[in-house]
Amino acid sequence: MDRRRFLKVLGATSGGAAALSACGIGPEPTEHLVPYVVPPEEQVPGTATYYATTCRECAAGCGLHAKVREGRVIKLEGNPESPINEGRLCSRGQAALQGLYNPDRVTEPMARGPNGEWQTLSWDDAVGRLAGKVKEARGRGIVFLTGLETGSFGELVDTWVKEVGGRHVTQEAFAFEALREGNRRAFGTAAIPLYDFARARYIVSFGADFMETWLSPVGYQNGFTHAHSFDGDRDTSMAKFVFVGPRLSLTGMSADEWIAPEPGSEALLALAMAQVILAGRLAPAPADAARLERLLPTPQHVAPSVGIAATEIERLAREFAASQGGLAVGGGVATQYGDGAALLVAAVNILNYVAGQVGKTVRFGPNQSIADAGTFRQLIDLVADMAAGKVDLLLVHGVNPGHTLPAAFSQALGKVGYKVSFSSYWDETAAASDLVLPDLHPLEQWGDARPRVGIHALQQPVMQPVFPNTMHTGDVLLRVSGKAGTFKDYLLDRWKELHQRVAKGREFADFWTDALQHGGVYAEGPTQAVRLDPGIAQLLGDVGGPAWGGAGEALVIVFPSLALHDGRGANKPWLQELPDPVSKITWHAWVEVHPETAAKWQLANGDILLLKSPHGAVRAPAWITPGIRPDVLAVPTGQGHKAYGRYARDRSFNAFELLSGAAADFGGRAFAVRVSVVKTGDHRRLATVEGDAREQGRGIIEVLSLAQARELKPGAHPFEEREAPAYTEEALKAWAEAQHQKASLGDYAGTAPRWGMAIDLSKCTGCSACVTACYAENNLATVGEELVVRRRQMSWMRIERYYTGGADGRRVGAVVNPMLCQQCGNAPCEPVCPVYAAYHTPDGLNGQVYNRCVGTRYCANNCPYKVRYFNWHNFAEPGGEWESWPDPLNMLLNPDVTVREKGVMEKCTFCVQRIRGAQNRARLEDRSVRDGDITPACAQACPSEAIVFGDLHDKSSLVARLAADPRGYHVHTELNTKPAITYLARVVHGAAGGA
Amino acid sequence: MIGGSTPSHQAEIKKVREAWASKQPPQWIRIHALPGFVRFPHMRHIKVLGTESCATCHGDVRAMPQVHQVATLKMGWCINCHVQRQVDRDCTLCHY
Repeated sequence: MDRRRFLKVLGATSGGAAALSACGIGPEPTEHLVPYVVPPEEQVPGTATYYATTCRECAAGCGLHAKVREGRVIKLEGNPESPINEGRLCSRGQAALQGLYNPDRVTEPMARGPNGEWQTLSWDDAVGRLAGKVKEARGRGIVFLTGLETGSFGELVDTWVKEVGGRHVTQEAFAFEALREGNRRAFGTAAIPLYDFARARYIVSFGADFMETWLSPVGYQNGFTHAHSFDGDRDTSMAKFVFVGPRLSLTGMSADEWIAPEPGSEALLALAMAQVILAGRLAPAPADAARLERLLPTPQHVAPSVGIAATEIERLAREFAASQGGLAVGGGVATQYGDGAALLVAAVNILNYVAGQVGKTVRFGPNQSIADAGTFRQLIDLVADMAAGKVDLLLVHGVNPGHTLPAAFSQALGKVGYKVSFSSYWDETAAASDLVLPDLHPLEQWGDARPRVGIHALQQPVMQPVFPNTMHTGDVLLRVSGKAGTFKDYLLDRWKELHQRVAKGREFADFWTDALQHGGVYAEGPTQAVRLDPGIAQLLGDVGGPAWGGAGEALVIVFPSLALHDGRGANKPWLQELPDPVSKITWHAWVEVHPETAAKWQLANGDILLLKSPHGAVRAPAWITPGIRPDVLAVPTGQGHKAYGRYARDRSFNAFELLSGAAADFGGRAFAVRVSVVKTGDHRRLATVEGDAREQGRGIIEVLSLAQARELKPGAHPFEEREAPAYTEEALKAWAEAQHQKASLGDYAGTAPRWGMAIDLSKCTGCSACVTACYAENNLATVGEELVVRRRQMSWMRIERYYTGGADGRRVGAVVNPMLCQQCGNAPCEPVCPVYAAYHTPDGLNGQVYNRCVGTRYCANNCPYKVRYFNWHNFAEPGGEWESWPDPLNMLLNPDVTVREKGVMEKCTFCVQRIRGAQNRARLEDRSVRDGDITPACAQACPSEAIVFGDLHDKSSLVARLAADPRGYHVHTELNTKPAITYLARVVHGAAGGA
Repeated sequence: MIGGSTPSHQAEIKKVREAWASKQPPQWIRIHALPGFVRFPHMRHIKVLGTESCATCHGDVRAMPQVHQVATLKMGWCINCHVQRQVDRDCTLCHY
């Protein structure tokens, strides 16, 4: 009896056939159609409209294209015209949608009643109340606390605050004070320059996580890939990247070499490298650098403190200088240990300076506006004023210090006369206020930003407000101060001034429409020359070795979470369920422990440690990883909210609680602290999606050394392997043909397209932007922590991370591999499906027909790549236990993609809706689909441009060319599955690290 | 269809006028509905069959006193037409 017959019999005898009729086949229940009375212009049902706007999820200011269907924004993509992100977008940016449609938004103005209960009130009442409080508090301390606002809204707040005699404090949890102070001490300017990664030939990062949260991660990752990817056609191809830091972060995983010196000694390493370059006259250093030569420490001198051999330091310095395009960056949160962190940046500056790179890869002039953010010291000063009762009225917009500075801020808040929050969510700060005036979401409002000199990015409402009873804070301020007009008028006035400055002679209306269409006005700021500060000699005297004595057994580093940032991402289920690119853990925080330390303490993954610092204590499950120094522990930020909605609340621990509330000598915060560690004896299962930390030689990843990669001739296939013996050749061929003949549809000879993909591992960094893009495009359910623990997550696209090296004195590194349905030409999933739900399409896809699927799960069992995902629950059931899109989150569902039901198998379709859409468009225009017409969501988002999609049968297509690249290989090629995805081997400088 | 001079036609016209005056859209009952897992691109069918081809699936709505469904809109009915016209009938043409 074959399987199909087996199922038939089963159905007839046990009533199991009901499963087939319960699939929802047949007409839907009676529906009502409600048309527009006046249909809006630009809106065609079934056709998407795109609006250009600006991302406000972090201070980088990336350009966005918002895809709007039937008046609802359903997807965010990068704006290709924006010089900040060049059409790419990270996970956080894409998840802005879940902030907009968040089910826990504040929907109307609320005030605290006499007994502390929340009452709704009208906007007139709310504005009147605020105006009254402003009048009362005049002269008794009015403070407006906002995030970094570089555009018109910031100007409006400044003006308003001046009028009422208060002050405006801006705050960013990661404000890069060390970077600014280091630049001031080295060059006399606290500006943050533009780092030109694309032009660099040798990159050294001293703890700067420039692919995660450092300044402008999407743009920098894009630039980095241009420099660091392997392209056989270019002789000069592939810059080398060295990562220096105590922990192998996502940025570090792309490095050719990871160096972990004694924490706090990174500055000495940079200075010694500069000394080698200067003493050996290895680079054309500016004349004023010569006097540094005597002052800089030699490698021999620093080697004992740094913990790295002098010869190694010399080698790094020589390579850096010889590349003639060195770029050293520093000032990341992961090396902001405390006092002295600015010296590391100063030392990095000196290294760039003596290598003659300042003005080339480091360009002052097109400065980044994050340097205008208030420092941590200013926030501490404010908290002190609040605690001393000097603040009578506090207004908070766009920040949540109740989470990032938990104890001190919350206590001080109690001493403030009246607290007003403009938050769109019930975050910790809003929950402790007296009046909440919910702002519009950035996607619903007018605004602008100036992320760096020369770039004026515009922000426009891309849809009507989800909750009509929310109001733009700019409008509230204008009403409170009794001014006529809306914030949009105010913005227009600012842009008229800009028009006078940059586009005189053009009609303003044209200028404005143009700016709206393109997302802003873009110009490149002129480069300014900088000289070493004369006081630099004195500074060098301050640089000491690591000073991490003090009480406590271990040094804990608090590092910024890629997905949750400072905690602002925690209320978005896409970001909660996005596996951290390094640890692969979802929905909760962890503490990273080196295997040696874990052995010493007898720890297993998931054992809960109590970490106690002088400032606070947290309970954290251990995650054991080779990617950290044995004497260091590390915890991510972002979790542990006390409020902030259903997805964020009471989840894991808040790492900020460990940190000191005092500012360090450079005005910023110390992100490291000594702790005592107690093993609690408690244990939890980590909600991880990691299978195996090592690849174990299974042919999933391939790594070549640069020398090997350069020697590859076109047409070579170094990874081709054949495990099946030659005599089985005929049988395999016959089997494949029989498979194809069985499917009555389709043309396998080559006239139909064969959709394929090429993924370049020398470009992929593992940042996981593709994962979130897939969730957004394909209506993937977020399943929650409990189901992830049971490995029932639905992410069609996952990034597998495998550690390399570690044994035989080889450096620890990591290689990532995006794993999605391989759309096999000879697919193991298809023949086992008893109902032909899994079948082969004529254009080479492994089709999955949801309405035919009966959920036997045979296909998933037979898939060697484990890329099929089963709906164990009804994730779309309104009010259901496992509901993934509670109202209004369901508004972001893509109408082009079926929402799957319980009992149905699903998997990557190569974004078949985009393929069919492009085919429809081409047919309407009487042409065939051209290469580049179709871009799946993952390829579209990828900041590294690692994913290329197209027709493998079209020999002129880019993907066909890449598929024939000698670096190409297929995962599990020995299984004869004939995947449509070709991976291009990663290339590293030095020896290829074995798995 | 809204138009004509009989009392019932006039009553329908009145509904539309009132909707315009009150700015409250009239509610229509949906007759032609496909399940959520089916995609039907109108433009491609009109491109091939011509702009007068609505009646192929919807019937001659102009002549109907009240709109009713003339075709089952079930998959077998779709496939029949695709077979007759010898066009693609791959599953992922409509189901994704």
